[in-house]
Amino acid sequence: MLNKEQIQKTDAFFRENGVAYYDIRQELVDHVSEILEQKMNSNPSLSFEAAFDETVRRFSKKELVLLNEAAGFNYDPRKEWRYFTKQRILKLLLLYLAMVLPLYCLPPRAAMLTGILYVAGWMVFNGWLLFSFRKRHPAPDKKLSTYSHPSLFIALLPVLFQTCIVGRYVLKMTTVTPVHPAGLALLPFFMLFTTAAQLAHQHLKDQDYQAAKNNYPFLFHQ
Amino acid sequence: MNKSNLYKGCLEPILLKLLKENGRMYGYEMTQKVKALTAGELKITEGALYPLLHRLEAEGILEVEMENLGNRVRKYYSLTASGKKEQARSMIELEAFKNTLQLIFNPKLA
Repeated sequence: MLNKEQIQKTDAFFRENGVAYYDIRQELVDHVSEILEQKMNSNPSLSFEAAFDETVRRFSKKELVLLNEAAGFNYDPRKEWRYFTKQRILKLLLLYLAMVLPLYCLPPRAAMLTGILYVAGWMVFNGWLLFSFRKRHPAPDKKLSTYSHPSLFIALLPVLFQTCIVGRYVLKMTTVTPVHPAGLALLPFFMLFTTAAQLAHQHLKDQDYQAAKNNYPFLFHQ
Repeated sequence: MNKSNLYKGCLEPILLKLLKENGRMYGYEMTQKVKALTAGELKITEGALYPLLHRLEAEGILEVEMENLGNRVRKYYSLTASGKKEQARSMIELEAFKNTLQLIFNPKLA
């Protein structure tokens, strides 16, 4: 069995040669350690250094960088659909009806004001979703391919983009009179659709985070 | 033609079959098992193995279990319930692929 220093040397080799993700590096360390142990067992006169040099020679830096990158592209967005259980779909439909009915029933002016209120509430809720997500997921010190912490700027971009679209739509509604109430039905639909997508995304990230925390606990407690 | 290119598309069914037969395995163990089964004909490189294992894990086909070995940690892979279905499906696909090749290279046997 290799000692701590020998394992550290193996880990340092991969880290210095482009394997930044801890989880993939850890597997490579175990892999190479097994090869080294076998070599040293079958030839007791072979030193660790000689066995190490001989073993790591077959890894090119380019190959290791590619290996690291490939491990980081494994996020499967199709899994986000699992969030939409029958119960959640039903809740979303009920919420949609609860939001759209006042827009139909209220007089045009009041409907417009309600629409603006929805947009404001939607923006606040989306912002809160993003910030609370970051708060409950403190990033591990070292990177993991199984859980990469989302950048707030990247996460905020779609929200800003959506706000621009919705804002423009509401602005158009408030300046064009009379407003056809059917047009307002799209507003809650768009807001609920984007928020549900965000919730589904966060739900999957929550699961990834928990799995990473269970598999690599020490990275989260440093 | 490079021989390893011919095997490339078969790596996934090979790994799934190994895991079906052996329960749980770790990366190095898989490479050694394949090497032994094929008498050294097929050598799986780390660059091909680990990205594939990680992808299968992300797709929910494999589940992992970590084991502390003292100075290092070992990651064991095993098939999930959907992984078992995927394994059965991949065997059918591989069989169909073999039959198609027979039609081209050995029509008398097909």
